[in-house]
Amino acid sequence: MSNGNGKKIDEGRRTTLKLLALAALLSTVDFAVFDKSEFKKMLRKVGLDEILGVADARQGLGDFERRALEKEKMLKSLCDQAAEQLCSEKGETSSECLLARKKCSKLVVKSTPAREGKRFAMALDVDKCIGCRRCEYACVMENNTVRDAGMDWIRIYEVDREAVEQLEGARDDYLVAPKPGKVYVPVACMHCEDPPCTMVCPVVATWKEKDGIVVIDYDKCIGCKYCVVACPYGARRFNLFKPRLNPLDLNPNMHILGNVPRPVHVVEKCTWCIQRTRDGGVPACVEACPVGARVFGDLKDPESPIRKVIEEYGVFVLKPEAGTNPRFFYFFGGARTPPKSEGDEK
Amino acid sequence: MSKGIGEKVLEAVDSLIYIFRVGLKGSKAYKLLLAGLGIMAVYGIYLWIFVQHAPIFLGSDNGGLYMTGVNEDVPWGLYISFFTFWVGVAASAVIFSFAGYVFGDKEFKRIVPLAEAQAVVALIITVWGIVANLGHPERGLIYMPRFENLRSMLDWDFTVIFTYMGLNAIAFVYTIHKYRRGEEVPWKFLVIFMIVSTPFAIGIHTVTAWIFHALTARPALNTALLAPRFIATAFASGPALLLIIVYLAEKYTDWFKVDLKLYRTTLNVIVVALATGLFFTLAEIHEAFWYTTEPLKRSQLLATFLGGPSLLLTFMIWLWIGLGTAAALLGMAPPMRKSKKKIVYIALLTFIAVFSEKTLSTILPGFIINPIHVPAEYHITPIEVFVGIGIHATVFILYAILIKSYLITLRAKGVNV
Repeated sequence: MSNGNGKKIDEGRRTTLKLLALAALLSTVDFAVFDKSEFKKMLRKVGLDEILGVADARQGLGDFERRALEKEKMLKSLCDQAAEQLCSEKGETSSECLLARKKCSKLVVKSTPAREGKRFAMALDVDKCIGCRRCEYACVMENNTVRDAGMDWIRIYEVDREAVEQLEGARDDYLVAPKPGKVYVPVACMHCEDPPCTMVCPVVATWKEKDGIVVIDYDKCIGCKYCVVACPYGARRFNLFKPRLNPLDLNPNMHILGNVPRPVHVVEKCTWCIQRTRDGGVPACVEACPVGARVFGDLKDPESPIRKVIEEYGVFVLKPEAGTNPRFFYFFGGARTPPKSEGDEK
Repeated sequence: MSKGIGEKVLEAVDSLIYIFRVGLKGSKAYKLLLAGLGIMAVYGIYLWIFVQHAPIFLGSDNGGLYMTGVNEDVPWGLYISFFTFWVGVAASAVIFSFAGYVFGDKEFKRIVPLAEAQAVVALIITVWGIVANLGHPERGLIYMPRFENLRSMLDWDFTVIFTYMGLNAIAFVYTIHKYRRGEEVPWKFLVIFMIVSTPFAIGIHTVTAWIFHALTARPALNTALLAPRFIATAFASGPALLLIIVYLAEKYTDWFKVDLKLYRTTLNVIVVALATGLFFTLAEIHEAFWYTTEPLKRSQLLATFLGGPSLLLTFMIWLWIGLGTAAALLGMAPPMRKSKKKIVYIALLTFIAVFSEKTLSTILPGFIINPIHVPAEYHITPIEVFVGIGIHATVFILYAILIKSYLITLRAKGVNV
């Protein structure tokens, strides 16, 4: 800007800008000073959570109840639609239709909180387990896991009897079981006393409840998979697929922190069937085990089966060096389920 | 005449606009380069938004992270490996600002803004790599800035990365802003910048290493050597990339000239860093084959060095050892230090070597044998490659603009800084 004319224009522009800035400042001051009470009457404070419809886990259980009700309403309407379609195809009086309607009417999403003075634990008799994977199957059915994604919360490893603690040479793709000289170690979430997965979560979307169950808030998980990396037992699963279960195939007994259908791209894992155990039941895997290898109970209750097992047999944990203090125990009950003889292996 | 704060802000905004206005202008070849990068960027971002993250961004039923190579045993793949590599490149900007501002080397001072620009763009790749790997980026946007869990290293990394990115961006824009007016950057600003940014430069890489190593679940990564190893090779890859950039800038402009002495000094840094990095790798090999008593660590390291479920990983780790040794030895040979061209070849070799060390070879060893000793497979998928290329292309467009604007500013100023 060497000529005088340009300088003049430049200065004019500057003055205008200055004035504009001053006006903006004044209007802010104006807004801040005057009519505060009037504004307060008219305006209501709205949080980001409220706008986006996502809830904060720290707000407590009232929030979970609300979300559970919303989910229940949504799933019920989906279920009703599916049932309606089925009934129009098969007829109102067909058994499928009646079953579907009954299922939809029973559908519930709970938000049962943890009860005080309880600490759940599970134990598994390595001598008894035959590696039949029925607990895996029951878990998939109970927990509304996507059926065709190859994702399961329980993984069963076949190891040499000597290597059971370190799990050296373990494999999970065996086809024949039980084999002599091998033991079968089902591994799922250990619900550790000091879980590393909850420590690393950057947004506190996973935490340990008062009764010892480690849960995940599926509506808060950002899917960074850091917890999957941190778990020394490989127990966490990342949901790579959109939930695509037929609403009529759902297990109607659901919990907001447990087996409610998970959204895509969140982490999920075993919750010891929170929907059953918080109401006094046992997990589905315990119920399904054909040889009774699994024991579940309350550690603080002296009469519980888990206490009997610990007192009678003594238990060990997987990977004690990881420093996680698991509450899933393994023990050798002594009475071995006989393995298949050589001729049976095909 | 003193100016009001409002005018100063307006001037800074003007300088910001100036950077992009100048950076987008150029010869036909330059525009062609930008257009080529632009096509790659658009394709990569398209794949990311409309295919890989379609269930999140569009709510569609198809698409999802299952299209990438990540699976239940290998939760982190190529994207996170970009994160580890580029965070190192960003960290090394501190070498140049130290040489330029603290030691007062005139030649280094001229290329400090380039190093700052490199740090900014490298950190954008870093953050984008994490976001591309994130299941729910939209939730991350809401929840990550709350810093709810300060025991999580990810929160700390988030803090240091964004702080360091901001510091370097401010320093770069401020330098351009001052140079445009033919003024020097005031020493007060430089002192504050150096004091604040140096810990963050080391911090971004250290905290990134801590993300991986503070885990008992992955014994191959659970070694206190990880952070030093990260820093060592970071100080090789960043200067190497910057040397290549400076060489190209010299080649395509006639006013930007840098002394051979700068190349040699930078090469010294590269050689020392490479030697340290190789030494750390040697220490790890020694542990794997001689004395580790932890079975899982042993099998993970053996699978890394001798071949296991992922042969690509084994190839890359040996590529690092081979090329790294070659680059370090060549860098010490006097005939190779005589011309800029030869030094840049060594820099290129270093860049490839450290790229193969810091990407998959850093994170995969912890995953290829899962915690229960079962081999896990990871195969890079085309979508990961193309999204990765898209991320890099987008960021390199920005880098080209920043470099160009700095070079043009130097020419307009007409004096040697």
